[in-house]
Amino acid sequence: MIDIIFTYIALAIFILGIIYKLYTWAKSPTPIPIGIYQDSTSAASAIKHIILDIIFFRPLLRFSGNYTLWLGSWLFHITLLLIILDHVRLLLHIPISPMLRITLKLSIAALIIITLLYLLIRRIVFKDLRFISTPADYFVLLLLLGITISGYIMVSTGVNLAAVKYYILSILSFKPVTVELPAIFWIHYTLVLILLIYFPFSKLMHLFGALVPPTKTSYHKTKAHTKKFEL
Amino acid sequence: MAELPEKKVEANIETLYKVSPIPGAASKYECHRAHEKDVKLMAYPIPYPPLKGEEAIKAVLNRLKELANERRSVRMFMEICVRCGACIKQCHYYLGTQDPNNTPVGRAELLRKIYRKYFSIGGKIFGKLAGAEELTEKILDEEWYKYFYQCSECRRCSMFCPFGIDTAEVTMAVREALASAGLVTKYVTEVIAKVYIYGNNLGIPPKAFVDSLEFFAADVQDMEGITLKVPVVINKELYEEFAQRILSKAPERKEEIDRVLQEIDTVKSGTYEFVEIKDKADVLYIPPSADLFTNIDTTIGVIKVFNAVAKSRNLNWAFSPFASEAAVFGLFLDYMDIKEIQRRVVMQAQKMGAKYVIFGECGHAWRAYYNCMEAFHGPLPFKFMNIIEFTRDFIERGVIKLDKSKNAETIVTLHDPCNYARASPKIIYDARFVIKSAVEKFHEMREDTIKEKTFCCGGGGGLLTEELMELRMLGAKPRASAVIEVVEKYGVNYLATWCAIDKAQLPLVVKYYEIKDKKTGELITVGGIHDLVGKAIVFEK
Repeated sequence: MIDIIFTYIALAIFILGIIYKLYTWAKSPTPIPIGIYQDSTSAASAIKHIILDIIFFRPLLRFSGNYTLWLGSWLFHITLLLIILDHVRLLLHIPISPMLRITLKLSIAALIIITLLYLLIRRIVFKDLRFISTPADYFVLLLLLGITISGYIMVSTGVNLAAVKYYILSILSFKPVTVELPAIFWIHYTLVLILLIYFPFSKLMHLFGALVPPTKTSYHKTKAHTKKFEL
Repeated sequence: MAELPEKKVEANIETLYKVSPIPGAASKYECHRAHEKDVKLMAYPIPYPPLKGEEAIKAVLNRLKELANERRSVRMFMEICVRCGACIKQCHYYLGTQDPNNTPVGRAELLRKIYRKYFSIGGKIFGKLAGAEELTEKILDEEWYKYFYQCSECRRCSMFCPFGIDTAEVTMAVREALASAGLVTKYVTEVIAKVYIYGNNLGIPPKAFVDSLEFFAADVQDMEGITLKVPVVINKELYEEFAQRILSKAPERKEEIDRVLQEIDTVKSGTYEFVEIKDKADVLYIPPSADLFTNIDTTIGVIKVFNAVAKSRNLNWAFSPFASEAAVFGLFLDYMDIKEIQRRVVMQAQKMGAKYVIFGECGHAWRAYYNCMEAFHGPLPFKFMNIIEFTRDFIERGVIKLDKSKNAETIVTLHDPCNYARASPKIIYDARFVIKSAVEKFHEMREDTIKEKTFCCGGGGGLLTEELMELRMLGAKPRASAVIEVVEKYGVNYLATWCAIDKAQLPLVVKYYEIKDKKTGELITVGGIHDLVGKAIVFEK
């Protein structure tokens, strides 16, 4: 019973928290244009820049010293996206061949754990990064490591996915049932709920920050400026 | 500069990127505090004497709360940083001083820890565990007042941040919050006060301004035999109107105001050979006032450009001593003073019936006018351009003819001023076009130090002051390194730039790092783009 209440609380905080945060962002105006890109002169070009920056993490490619960070963080986000898509696939009953399932799933899960370890270790090893890191930065990485490692164990020990699916769908359809599942699932599940609660009030909001960054949504549109002198 | 530490910089910028952090290394650099006579003149309400203790903290927090509601950038930049560290090595002041509080993320963290404490749920509940910290007077004095005046608002970091976080926005917010408690610097307030009284940063009174222009034209006549016309608009009513504003705030400045008003009457047509006094003109040219004092060749180049264009068509242009400053130091303090400084330009343009306002070689002025003028004073009854766009336009049309061979000995490289490179579309390519039209030999510096990745000269953002000299020289390391590289490789002997702050800062940098011309052994020249245009321009007899 407690698991079901906790789930609903977490989902409510996650959704309402994000809406509230986005509302506070939207409420604050942009009094002067603060665009940074030379060729961002229309809404279309601004959107183009935002999309390219999100897909390829372009800003990290502008400095050779950031290439390893680019590789680590890009792989992390891509594998995270694939894993989330796989969870959705499971809930939507989209079948996938068992061969693919085991090899792909486990290698992707291993990859995300490796990238997370890289992101954690660089924070500890590089002096300048250690100086600017806050407890929250370590907390998020450790939480994600907990989630991914428990997930890896679940898949490799062959948890009854049909039961998990049945349980989650019952919650999402507001007809919750109690299901017998192993401890490793409950660890994984609880950590995910903690992440959802934490999300709106933390740097994880950078997901939306990347979608609507003020310096990139703002573009050059000064009407009185001209490059041609006509008199 | 004899007392500064002996510092060398290598031609390879990679060595600078290997910097290791020394927390607190830059805490010794601090701007002088402002004087009452200047503080009183600011458009932004700044208490004097500065508030103390709880009062100061309350005033700062109140303003920060308002700023988070007034500017989306402040709110979002406080909340979305993931501290990935991609920006760490992009700040010239970090590369120069090794103080991690001078990294973009480190600097913003100085505010972020306070923001969390007072404006975030996690910070309120979990305190230190969530990285939140209470605001104290010590933080105001020792951290904010120091480190937010060690940021030149160059915005380079925003190009490397995955979320485009622009430290200049954070710095401007903190400076404005500090001002609410009376914590402002002498340099910035003094300069703004001079604009309000004299019309320019240097405090050049109207007669001296016009006399200088006459002198430049006479000089060109003597040396080159070219007769230049220099029109100047004078509208005394504007001076009178603004005098009232100032006197209502600071009656003790009456003497200075009266002197300016008396001088205006002595500036009359007929007393000058080259200067024409008028009260209307179609085009208003606004130089940075330093171009009348130190960077004289830039102004001469610009006057030549206008004269060349006026020969082929009916161009009714003019200077104005009332609006004789392109620079907007309000950008280094608060929005209200940006607006008030720009009001002079807008009113002068309207009064004289200008259809175009053209801004001189000044970087942050361009950002301030390009981004703020329409937002604060729009819709505008005139169009505006940069002088580099104007010159490019008329070179392309064949109206301005340039003879490159006159600059045959000059081997040029270009320092892109931060605010052109990151605040308006493609204007840096106009600069390259103009330079390549005026000289035979032009060489770019390495790719990660030019265009939108350009490094600051080390003196922008209201830091061009004597007490920060050591910081300025250290902050110029990346730029110096890139210049040395092209000097060694191509024999560059002219460092071109089109920003008045650069032209004040870079000659000191060249001297400090002993950047010498390979052939002559002399220090390389730092100069404007119109200096080169002025030398190459051909007047048809």
